Amino acid sequence: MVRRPRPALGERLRDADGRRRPLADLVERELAFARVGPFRADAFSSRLHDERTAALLGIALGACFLVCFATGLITQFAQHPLDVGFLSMPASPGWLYRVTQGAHVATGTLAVPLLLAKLWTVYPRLFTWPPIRGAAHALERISLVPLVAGSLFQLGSGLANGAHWRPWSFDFPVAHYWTAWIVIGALIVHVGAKLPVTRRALGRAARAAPEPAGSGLSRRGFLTTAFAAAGVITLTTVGQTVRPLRQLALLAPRRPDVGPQGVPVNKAASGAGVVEAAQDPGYRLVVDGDVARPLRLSRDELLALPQHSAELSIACVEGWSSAAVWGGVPIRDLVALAGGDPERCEVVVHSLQESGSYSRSRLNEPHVRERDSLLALTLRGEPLHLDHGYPCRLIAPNRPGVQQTKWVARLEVV
Amino acid sequence: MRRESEPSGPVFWIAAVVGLALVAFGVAGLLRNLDGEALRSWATLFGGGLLVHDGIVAPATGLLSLLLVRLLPRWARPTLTAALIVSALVIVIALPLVYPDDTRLANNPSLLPGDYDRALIAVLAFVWIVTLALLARSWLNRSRRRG
Repeated sequence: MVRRPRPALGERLRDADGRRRPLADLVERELAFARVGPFRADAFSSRLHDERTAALLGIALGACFLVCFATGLITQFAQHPLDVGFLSMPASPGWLYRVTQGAHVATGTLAVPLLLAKLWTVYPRLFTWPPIRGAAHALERISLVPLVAGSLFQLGSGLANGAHWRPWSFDFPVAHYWTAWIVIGALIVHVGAKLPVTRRALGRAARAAPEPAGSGLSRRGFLTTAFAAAGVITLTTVGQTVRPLRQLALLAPRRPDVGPQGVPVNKAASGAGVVEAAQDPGYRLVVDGDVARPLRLSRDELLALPQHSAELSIACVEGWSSAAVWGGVPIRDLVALAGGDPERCEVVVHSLQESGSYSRSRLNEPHVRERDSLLALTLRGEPLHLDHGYPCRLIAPNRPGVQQTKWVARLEVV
Repeated sequence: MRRESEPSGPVFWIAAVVGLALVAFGVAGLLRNLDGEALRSWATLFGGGLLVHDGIVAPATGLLSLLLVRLLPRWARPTLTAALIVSALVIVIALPLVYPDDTRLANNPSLLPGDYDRALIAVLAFVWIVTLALLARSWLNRSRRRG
């Protein structure tokens, strides 16, 4: 038997007419023997690994990610304002931040079942053969690494963070914010690549086509299951911010009515190390900075000033919120009393808490002008609980909870 | 699934350029804002999540589904599969709540106010009561058809 000599590589790269063969054909010719296990064409037999299922889940998931990204940017810029006027946080409507951040955490939570269902649907694609078919195909596949890793990271770390389970050593807001750009960028690449497939999968022909053949859960059944899981999860968690559903909030890390004086707390006085300083009889609030007459006021002197009360909510970045009636002195009155101009100033609020990124916060001009921005002394008509910021705390409309500085020591007018 | 076509056209390339620029922006932000140890911790979770999902969770789900196809009677399979999926997803959501780490409660008197082990059991019980009702319905339909 005569063995045919194997053609040289240069010959194998070209066809009979001397044209270059497509990369895909070459891989198929050279490496087909390696196609075993999950790489075999019939390795995944379930009818749920289907283009239309993937498209429908993808659209729902894309909508969730868009809401998460937009509402996440609101939180980022509320805490780290860009010095651009129209992007600064308005003081009204007061409920706005409560809604945006509630939506951020609720959509992130309900995206967990959708993401896992979607990954299951497209998992066989991981073993696509040939692995790459050209530059565009390679780019599309590589962009899946940041997309999938980033999506799992964002949803997983967000979920764990809300329950204060933090098995990591980075600053969560920093990592969550920057990873969001990675995910949204990779998502744009993915949408650009999948637009034709999605159009085909949702088109009239695909809609009219019968369910793929097979036994077990149908496509409709699988989608119903994924959305049912999302529904159960939403109903048992969203009560942490949607008060009428609080009785159902079995799997929420907070209840909006559980905490000192019926309002949740994120950091107790003992954790902030302010127990003694906050109860010191020599406590005086300092109002200084860009003012004509700096002030030093005891809590009793603050109580003797004209009081104002307002129903305001603590809306935590972790997704829970709780509204109550707070009473105290409007920040603008204190600025005016010290001889500052409350119409045109900002105020930096310093806490007795000495360290930590939330030991101070900044009120922008619209928030200083707003009469409901209070240096609160009472909650529901009673003196503030130590864990709510006794002797006095900042509470203002439309602000993240971490910026409602507690145990206020100083108002610096700038 | 049909054989996928290679992406092409101006829409794809514009999306690719814009998207990759945003990915680069995100990576640059992480490199600027996280120091060595924090960055390692980020990379571990970022890559680890992907590896655990693609290397363990998805294959294990596949193997489990192969097993279920053989074990479950055909008429009950769709409903039971759906119930198992919903249960697994509810457990995933509840994991951070039931994870035994009480140190996190020290400074947070209002954090995790519920009894989450019992809450999880209650939600799962609800899911399975609905499942049993659906199963009973399919069983009745089936025996009626057989007459």
